[in-house]
Amino acid sequence: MWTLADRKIESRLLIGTARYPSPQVLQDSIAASGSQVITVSLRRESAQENNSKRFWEYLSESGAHILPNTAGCHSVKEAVVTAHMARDIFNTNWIKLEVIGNDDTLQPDPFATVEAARILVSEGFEVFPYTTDDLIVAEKLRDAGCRIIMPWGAPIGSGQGLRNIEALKTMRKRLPELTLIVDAGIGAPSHASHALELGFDAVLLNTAVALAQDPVGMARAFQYAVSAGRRAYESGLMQASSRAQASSPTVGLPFWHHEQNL
Amino acid sequence: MSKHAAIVGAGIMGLLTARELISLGWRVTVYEKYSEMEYRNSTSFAAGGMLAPFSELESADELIFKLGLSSIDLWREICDELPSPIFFKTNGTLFLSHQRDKPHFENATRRIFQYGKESEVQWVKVSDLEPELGDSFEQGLYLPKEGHIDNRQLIPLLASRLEGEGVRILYGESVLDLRPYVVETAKGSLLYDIVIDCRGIGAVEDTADLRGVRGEAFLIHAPEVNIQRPVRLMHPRYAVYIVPRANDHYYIGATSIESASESPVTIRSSLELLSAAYSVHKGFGEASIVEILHGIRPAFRNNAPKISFEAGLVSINGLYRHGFLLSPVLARAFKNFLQDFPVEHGDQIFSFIRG
Repeated sequence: MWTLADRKIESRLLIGTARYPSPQVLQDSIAASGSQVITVSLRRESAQENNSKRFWEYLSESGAHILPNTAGCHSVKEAVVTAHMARDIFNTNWIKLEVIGNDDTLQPDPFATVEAARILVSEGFEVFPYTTDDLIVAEKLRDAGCRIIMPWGAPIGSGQGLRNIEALKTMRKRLPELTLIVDAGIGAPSHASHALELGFDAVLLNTAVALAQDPVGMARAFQYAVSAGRRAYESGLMQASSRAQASSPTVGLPFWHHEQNL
Repeated sequence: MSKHAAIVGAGIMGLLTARELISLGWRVTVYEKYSEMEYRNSTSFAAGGMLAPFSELESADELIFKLGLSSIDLWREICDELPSPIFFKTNGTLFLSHQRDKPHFENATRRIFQYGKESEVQWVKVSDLEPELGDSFEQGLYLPKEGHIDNRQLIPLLASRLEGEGVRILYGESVLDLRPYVVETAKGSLLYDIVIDCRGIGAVEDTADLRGVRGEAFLIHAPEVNIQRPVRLMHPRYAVYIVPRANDHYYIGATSIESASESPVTIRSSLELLSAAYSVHKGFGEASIVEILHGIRPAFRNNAPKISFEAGLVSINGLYRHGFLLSPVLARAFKNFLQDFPVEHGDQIFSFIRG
């Protein structure tokens, strides 16, 4: 059990709901992933509740907490309006804040994200901001009142994994009090494991499962990977070394005989 | 006396069902809520008319592919009966992507290679097939066994041909309620031997699990463009296709939005579709927009079609984005079922409600 925005949950995998072959496959994938938090893009699902009612019913049948997102928003105003819409439709104060700065790279706009976060926090939202791995932006988001920060591993949908491991490690080290979730760029279960091994609280992903040949099988693979990564972190990973260290002693050879060969 | 069927909905599924029933000697009455003037607003008119079982493997599952394989032969049969020739081509589909989207392209086409034989899926030099696209694209994936049909030309011709064969099509006749053996309109209730629900998204309120997936498209006139066959541009976020129509017209579609909204097409969708088309051929920059289309695709939870039977009532629905690919196949499956003939994949498309 861990606590995400005051809610106790088991799974450390948050999963997106876009681009699955069908709602059936989506539901089966959520179940196989064990995820208890699913993100929903509001922008494209149209504002009036009735229009997408059935699709949203499918999502709520999963029993997972719904984390609406502002995907596709390019300005503070757009993101804030979308967040208000999401609060009304899904009856939640959770919002994944995504303000895109460049349509081509889908890079977040850090300035607009911080500004929108400040507004939304003051309105009582629990803001899950999507940002880069930049520490200063993360600190500004914290100062704006965010308890959760979601740095990218790599650009959205790229599947490159953790591109800047040192920056992520630094962020984890400098912001121990915050919930940190790696969002975007996860392509393989090993990437997800790695994020958890580094001490991140969870990962959020979508494409890696939705566009897999067998999304349900991949969802299960991610479930295992995330549990393995977390268990490894809690168990304390050994430190890597630049040379071999025999795990059993080499009997009969004094150590300086080895040193000479180096 | 011959049996009398009521079909509710004169979209492509309703018309092709009528066609199969009259071939069995049935009398058929079709109820269509739109008047003849408004009829062109129905989803069947907004479709791209692609007959592309291999291409659809990009997102659809194996069942759609297998059902769709017989589609082109059935369409040939249907078109041969029409009084005048219509725009119906079987010169394949070309899959393209821009250089930097190659990983996505490979991802999206994996399943096409999995199911297609060597003769059905080929790498080609784009300039050999579509000379005007050769400058922007070097290699493409060619699916020679696919076709496309101009649905907007076809539907009125098919409807009038059926009327000529004795089918009554009642335009502007809203059905208030349909039940086994009964169709109820403002004029009262009428009894039939069978009622066939082909309303598509019109059935959303009383069909469990049915939902609407909005699609938007553009019909344009582009005299400076010469493309012979449907081109599908693979992009990580949008799947855009360009389908040639008669007289330098092209259909550019289509978005896919989890919504049954009937509101006008947004600027965002327009920019996506049109800039993607422009990136394929600069000649589209000078094209004129003939019509902006939107339709609501009816889909079940698994995005696969279903024919449900109960005594006196049949529903054929959930054709999703495969209306023209699947409608002749489903109409034929229904006919075969009525004749007690074996139906391929019947276990997957039929559902029986006991009562």
